[in-house]
Amino acid sequence: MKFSRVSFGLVTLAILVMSGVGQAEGDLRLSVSKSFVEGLDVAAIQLVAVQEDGRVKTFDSLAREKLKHVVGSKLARAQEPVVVYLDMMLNPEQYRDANIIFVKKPAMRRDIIEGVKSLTPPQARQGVISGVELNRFEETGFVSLNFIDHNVVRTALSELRRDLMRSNKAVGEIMRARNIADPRFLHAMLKVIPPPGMTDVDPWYPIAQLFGSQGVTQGGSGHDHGEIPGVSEELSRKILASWSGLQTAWANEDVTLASTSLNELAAIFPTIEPDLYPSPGRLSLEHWYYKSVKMTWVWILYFLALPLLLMAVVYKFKWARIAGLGFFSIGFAAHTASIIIRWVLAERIPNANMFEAVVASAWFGGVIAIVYEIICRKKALKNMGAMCASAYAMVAMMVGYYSPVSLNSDITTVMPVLDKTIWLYIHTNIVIGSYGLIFFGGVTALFYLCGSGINLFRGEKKGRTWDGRSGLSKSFDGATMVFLQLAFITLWVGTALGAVWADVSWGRPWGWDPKEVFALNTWIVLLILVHVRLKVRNKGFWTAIIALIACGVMLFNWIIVNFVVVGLHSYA
Amino acid sequence: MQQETNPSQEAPSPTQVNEGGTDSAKRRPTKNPMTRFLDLVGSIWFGITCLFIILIYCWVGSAGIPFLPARISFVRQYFEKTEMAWFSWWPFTGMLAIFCFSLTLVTLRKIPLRKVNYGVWTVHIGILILCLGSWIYFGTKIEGDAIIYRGEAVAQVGGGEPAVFRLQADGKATVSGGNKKYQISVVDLNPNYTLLTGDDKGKIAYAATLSVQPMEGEAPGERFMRQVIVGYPQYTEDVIPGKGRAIKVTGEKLVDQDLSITVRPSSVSRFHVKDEAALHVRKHGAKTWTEFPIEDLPRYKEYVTDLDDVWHPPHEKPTVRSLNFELEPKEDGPPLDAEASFRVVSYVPYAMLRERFVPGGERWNPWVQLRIDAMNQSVGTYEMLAVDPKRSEIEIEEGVFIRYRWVDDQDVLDKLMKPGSPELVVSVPSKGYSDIIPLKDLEGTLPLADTGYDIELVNIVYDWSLVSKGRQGEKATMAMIKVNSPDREQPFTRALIHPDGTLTQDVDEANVRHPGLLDSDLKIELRNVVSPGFVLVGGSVGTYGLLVNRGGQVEYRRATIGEPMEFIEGNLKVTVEGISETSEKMIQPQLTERREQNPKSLPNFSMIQVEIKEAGKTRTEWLEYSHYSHQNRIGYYPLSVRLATGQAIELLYSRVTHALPTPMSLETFKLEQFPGRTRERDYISLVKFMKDGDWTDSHEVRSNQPTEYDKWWYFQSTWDPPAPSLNYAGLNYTGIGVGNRNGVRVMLLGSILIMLGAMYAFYLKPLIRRRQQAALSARNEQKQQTDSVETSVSHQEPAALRS
Repeated sequence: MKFSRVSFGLVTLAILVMSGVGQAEGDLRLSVSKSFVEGLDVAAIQLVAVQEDGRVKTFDSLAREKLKHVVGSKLARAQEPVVVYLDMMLNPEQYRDANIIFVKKPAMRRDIIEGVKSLTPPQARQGVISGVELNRFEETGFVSLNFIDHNVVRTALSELRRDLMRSNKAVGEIMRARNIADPRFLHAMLKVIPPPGMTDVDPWYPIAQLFGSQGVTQGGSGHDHGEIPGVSEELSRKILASWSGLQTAWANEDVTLASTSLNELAAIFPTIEPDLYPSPGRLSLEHWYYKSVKMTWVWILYFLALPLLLMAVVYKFKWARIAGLGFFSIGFAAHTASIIIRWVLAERIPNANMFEAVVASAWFGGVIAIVYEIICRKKALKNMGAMCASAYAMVAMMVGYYSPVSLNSDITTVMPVLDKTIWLYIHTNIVIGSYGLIFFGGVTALFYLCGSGINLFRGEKKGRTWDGRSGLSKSFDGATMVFLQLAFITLWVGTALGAVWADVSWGRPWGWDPKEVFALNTWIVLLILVHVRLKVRNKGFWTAIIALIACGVMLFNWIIVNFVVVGLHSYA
Repeated sequence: MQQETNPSQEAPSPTQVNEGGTDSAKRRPTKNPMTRFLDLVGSIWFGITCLFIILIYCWVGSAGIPFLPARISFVRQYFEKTEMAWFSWWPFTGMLAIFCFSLTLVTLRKIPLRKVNYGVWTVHIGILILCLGSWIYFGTKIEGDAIIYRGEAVAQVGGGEPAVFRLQADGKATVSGGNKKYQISVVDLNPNYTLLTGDDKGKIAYAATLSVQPMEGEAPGERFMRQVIVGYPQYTEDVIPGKGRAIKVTGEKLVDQDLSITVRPSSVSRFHVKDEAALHVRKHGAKTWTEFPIEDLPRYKEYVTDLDDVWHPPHEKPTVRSLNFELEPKEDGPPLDAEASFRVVSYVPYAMLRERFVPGGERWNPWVQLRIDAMNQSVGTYEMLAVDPKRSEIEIEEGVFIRYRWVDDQDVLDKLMKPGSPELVVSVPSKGYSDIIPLKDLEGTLPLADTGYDIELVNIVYDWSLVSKGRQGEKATMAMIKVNSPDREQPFTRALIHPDGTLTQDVDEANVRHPGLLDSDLKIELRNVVSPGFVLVGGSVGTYGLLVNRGGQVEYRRATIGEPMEFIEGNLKVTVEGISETSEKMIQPQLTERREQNPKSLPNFSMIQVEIKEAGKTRTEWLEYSHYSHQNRIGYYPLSVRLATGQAIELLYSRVTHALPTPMSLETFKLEQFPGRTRERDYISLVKFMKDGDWTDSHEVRSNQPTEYDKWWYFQSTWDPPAPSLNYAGLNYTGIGVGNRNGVRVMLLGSILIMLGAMYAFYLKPLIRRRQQAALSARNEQKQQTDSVETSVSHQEPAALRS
């Protein structure tokens, strides 16, 4: 059975290649010493509630969400985000020259460099932006605030921003990162003071609201400070005193005073308006969820399950089946937990943005696989569902793990059309479930074609045939059809229900929006598959080919149409 | 659709289709053409081919052709079709019709109506019903939107005609009656006004502050403000600016009891149709437009009749191609009472009207166009006017200016070329002191002989922006001189202005400016100052380029059109591309660069060029797109044109309007927000409909919750967002989408049948077949048993009989 070994090798190689996806390190060096950072007690301050972007989250969540836009997701995980946030806020000058802002796309880096070069001839650029600096930027992708704020770079970025198709969005992301790194912005975002006597919709206040015209006075004892309606003078002074203590301690690297000040602040905020403050349990849960990379590490469990289940399919090893299903079950349980936690934290069903849709789709794949394995437990088709679900969930969670910025893994509010609607539960889940099934069909079709290719290569010795009518080929072909027939129905039902939702939301059931058209396209490919199968002699081969096309069209719809083609469904 | 068997048990003939009719062909070797045609069209391969073509059509129309350059990739845009138009175009509808025909043939001819085939039949019928529903839906679809304001004011004075105007940012009206005449305009709108008194104290209401200006000679008095609150006429009161509430000043709540201003909900009776352009025309002052629909107006590409009619980016010359849309007024609209006809001759999708000056004409207005290159890199091309203060000087980089001067006097030119060194002419008449001091000698403090004064140059600014009344923004040179006077304890600073020395001022030790001088005995004049930068001189003395450095030294070259003048060892090149003593203003579309074109913005930045024919004459005018044919915040760009007859008309490029089934009004509009009030959570409009001359109860329209009235669908479409930077609270109107939806239920029925049929075909049919096969096997077995008994009995039967 060389076939399975080759397949296994290919899958492993693909996984290893994907695992290597990452980014170069920037020089995110804190202004304070390592011993200070290690001695700092941030346990309480990172659980402080912050109101930002329509929801109340932890300070830790805020820091993680914002810093990943500045330094990239990998570097953001490398340091304690709250400490980096505080350091950037309290010692901004230290970050002016540090290469902390990450420009991910190499093409964008080259465009910026070309822009800078075209604006300043080499002799004029001497001492302004050196060639060495430009080369380093091209290689690592990291630049400093000073670099971005340089007139020549700003001019080059402005010029690039005018190109709406190619570089406008990327420049927008760079400027967003630059703005986040601005200490004024960091202060303004840190809205930790709930408004006394107000509703949960009313805005919270940042500590900076209490600063006077000269900033924070030593010990917060000065008369010149701002006010927050409903917050007493005594409480204001207390907050300012702790903040002032933090500033002093940070400057002097006094770890005891810094920890004390942080803990004092963390103790004050929940007492200002307890009715508006989230429970400690919820804040702790959110902190754990964010810290554990939104549990996307669950891909490792699926990764372990996949080859075992493949062996169970090919070799019929019972131990491989048991072990594979074991890893799959643990992975699925953790996957389920991640969805429940996110549902609790977001206070809505977690399927409203790209990250959530990908994770939820993979979860629905798991549910389908479990039902499938129960029904087919005594049939030749067993293990196929769990194997495909493992492959799908592994890919989905890996994408979530390695591309949290592109997929936007943050817990966010939703746009009005998605808020408080039953259709988000019905239409979206059915459609992403059907996407899972189409992916399953793609996986079995791929294995079918691999087997077919290997068989062809080996010259069909010893009477071995691969025609979809017997043995492993029949199992793969049969599984492909099981998945795609179900996908045929669910995709149709999901699309039709989407039309009903569109009717009540946008006033028309069908507007030929790209997302709608490509859902229809995917269904048409499945329709063609069903009919071609009736007419061709080599049913297995053509089924596999068209199943892969269907999978490709589905992925095109999900990725290209969402990110590139403009449409009403751009949030989906 | 044909269905597949259960995959785990491949069946030899899943649908028992007599595909291709091969058996019958053997029986009937000669086929008539009709049968051949029906066989061809009624084959599964034909259906698959149709589906494949439909798939390609859908793909290409929605996402273009992958891997091709954008210019040819986007086929739909190439054919100037919106998504809706592309999928309503005859190639698509034709392909669907052929597919439906094929599907019908296949179903009727090749799929026997048996129990096992119920699923296939259901799916096929479902597809046909869905296509029928789509044909009804898209064939009769009308969709658009209407803006409804929260209120309108009705003003009346002295029994005169009432004037009605909307409560919107620029709403205004003139009202007269008796011997009074007022101009009333909206000053402020507050959607979150909190009632301070009465039973509803604390409630939020919609309030408007109106400025009431007595017209000169008609209604003596001063301007006052009237505050009105929707739903609370008893709280209407006047405020006199600078004096306070009228009741405190005059003892009455209202300044003029004769002036009545009431507010009521605003209503609309028409909506604007989506993606259907129209030219709107009306006589100046008229209230209703005559609409001229522009059918098939392009959307994505430029159609420019004459390149001279637009300004385009360098290297992006548009293709010259004209349109020829003769416009006819809408049949059900009001006729236009003007002798003119209209034709659309050009269209540009991305452009903005821009004012430029072009050489020629009769007006003396010296013009030049320069190109500047520095270090072999292009800095830019600039148009300048010598006698326009705003256009005679351009700051190309911080502190680096180019100036354009028109000179007819050789002495003036000589002075510009050899200005001499900047110097101060200093005198103290009371002490008989007078001297000329070169500015370069003013290093450190310089005593003025034995006058007791000493002076020191603090700094000199060559591009000082004047702030004096009437001269704001003008540039001048300013030298700051610190003066120690024998009569003052503290030194003061004299700000010398050149060339207009009358603007010179003193600044005291407390940094306070003084009109005039603190010490008039000391006189200082700044002269021979030429601001550094580049000066282009035109005129009868010739054309010269002058480069002035910070020390006042001038390097100059004679200019030849099209040839670069080189300065600083060739590092600076200035080329005069054109120069003229006369020029005239032109307003034309400036086409947007391709890279800046945003398809999402269509058609908001589009323009049409309309040819107006009247009294044997033709003229063309460019019109900017207005999303609504009434004053609104989004953009409203009517153009007034005076015809040869003297009649003034207004033209507007907007959308076709359609009558609502019944007028609609807005009771209120509310916003729900997420915590922090930075994101909207829902938009809620409470609308009413006119029924039998009265308004109905309010219907709530919000996201995912439309309302249906009189078979039309009303859904939340747009809203009036606040603009904090403009101190605009917003929420003054709502945008309600309107559409009919004939055929929706038919489409839904088709979709349900497809679902049910597919489930039957995929999951029930295999069970039925299995049972049938089991029954068949049992019968065969029984028959075999019977046969074997019979065979054993008649094994002596002759061979001929057995056969």
